[in-house]
Amino acid sequence: MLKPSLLLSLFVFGILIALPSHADRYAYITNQGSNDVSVIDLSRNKAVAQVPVGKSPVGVAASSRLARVFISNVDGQSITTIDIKTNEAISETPISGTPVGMVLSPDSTRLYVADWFEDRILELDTTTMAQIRQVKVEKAPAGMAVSPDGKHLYVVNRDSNDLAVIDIAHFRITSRIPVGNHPFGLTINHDGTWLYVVNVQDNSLTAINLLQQNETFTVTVGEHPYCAAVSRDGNTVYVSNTQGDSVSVIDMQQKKVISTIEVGGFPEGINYDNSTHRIYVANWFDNTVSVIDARNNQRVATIATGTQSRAFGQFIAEAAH
Amino acid sequence: MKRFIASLAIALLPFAASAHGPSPQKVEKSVTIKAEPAKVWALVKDFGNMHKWHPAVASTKLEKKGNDTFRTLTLKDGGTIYEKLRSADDEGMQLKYEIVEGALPVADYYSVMTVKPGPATGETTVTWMGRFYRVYKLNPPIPAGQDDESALNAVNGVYDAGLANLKKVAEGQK
Repeated sequence: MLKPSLLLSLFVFGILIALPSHADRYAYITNQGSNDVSVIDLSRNKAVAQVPVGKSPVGVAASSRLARVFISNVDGQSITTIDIKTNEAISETPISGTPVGMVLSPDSTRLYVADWFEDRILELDTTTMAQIRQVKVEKAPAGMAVSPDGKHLYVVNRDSNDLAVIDIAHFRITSRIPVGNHPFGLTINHDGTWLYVVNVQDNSLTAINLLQQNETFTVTVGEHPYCAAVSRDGNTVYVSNTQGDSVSVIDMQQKKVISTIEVGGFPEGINYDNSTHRIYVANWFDNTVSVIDARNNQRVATIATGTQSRAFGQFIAEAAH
Repeated sequence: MKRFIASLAIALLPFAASAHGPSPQKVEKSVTIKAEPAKVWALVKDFGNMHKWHPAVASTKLEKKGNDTFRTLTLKDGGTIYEKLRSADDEGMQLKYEIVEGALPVADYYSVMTVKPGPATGETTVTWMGRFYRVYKLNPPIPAGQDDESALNAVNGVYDAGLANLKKVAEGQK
């Protein structure tokens, strides 16, 4: 028979072992109209902080690894760096052009920034925020994605209706793939085998099989779509329709829309979160984020944010406490 | 040479992709009218007769091209605005349209007019919203008249004058 005090110690020890270490997930939503970023706690579906940034923030690239979020200030012509641990802006990096779309390298050491008017992609060192290289990409580079092996950068060019493939080692364009009219959003699946391009003026999504490019296909979605997100297993793609106030759900096996979900006014930036199995979409007109349960395609929450929310890019990250 | 080619391209493609900047602007205005919703909706949805209620419009010319409907607004101050009807939904009492080209200092302009009953019986609320970009399509410095402020001022002016007169016309009608 164990002594009571020993039993108590073992009991407490057991409890401590059983508790999982708790890392919370947050969404960083750029509010173009209020010049700030809403920090949303995904476990509570509530904004817990509002971080003032530069003028007209649009693009976002969040890194759990660095515990930093990068924000492109479109009219401020700069990039704000936010420290995830404190939810404070720690620096503002001037950019000589107009930074909009951004994407991080898989190891978060590099930040790629698309300069909308200068038709170029800048490569920044995320530790120093110094510019290392740049490449000319015409015209009006918008959404970007990086391959999981870090070797390729993909960019859709809104005014040349194509996708440019950039070899990162040499930082030059190696091929261009024609897509639909006025492409804006771009996303890549988890294993880097499929790219998804949103063609704003065709009301469609183009899916490009990176292993077999003649397997490209196009699906009609809602009105004036802007952005796309893909489920972790690659089976489902979600597209925000800005003039339809909805999200189109595309089944990749059937290659068609299987559901259209009503969200807020002028939905734009959209992300799929694998730990919550939910989709988050920013509504520019309503100043909110709509939350969709991916298991049943139902809207489960609406979260108030700042004004003219856009969240263009990868806006979800983990913050350990 | 580049400008010649650019203008040639515009002449060949009247509905060319409307290039614009990356920061859309928003205007949203409302008015409450002491008239029945059906009467107000009849005025709003009448795409070919905007001059009946908007004080800045001298005349409206409607045209159909295949399945699409367009209108040319001739302004009292001179100048025209060419617009495309996107939809007129009788059940939701909502009109959606966009500007193809014209005298307003805006790019990629899209607008929705919504007619709703209330707040009181016999009253109607009309909401007019617009999403658009400034005219200038290069990096700053931005020339006067082509910036966000000019775009916002122009659209605010159109909506304020329009809704105020829509109210007068709707309330004055028998």
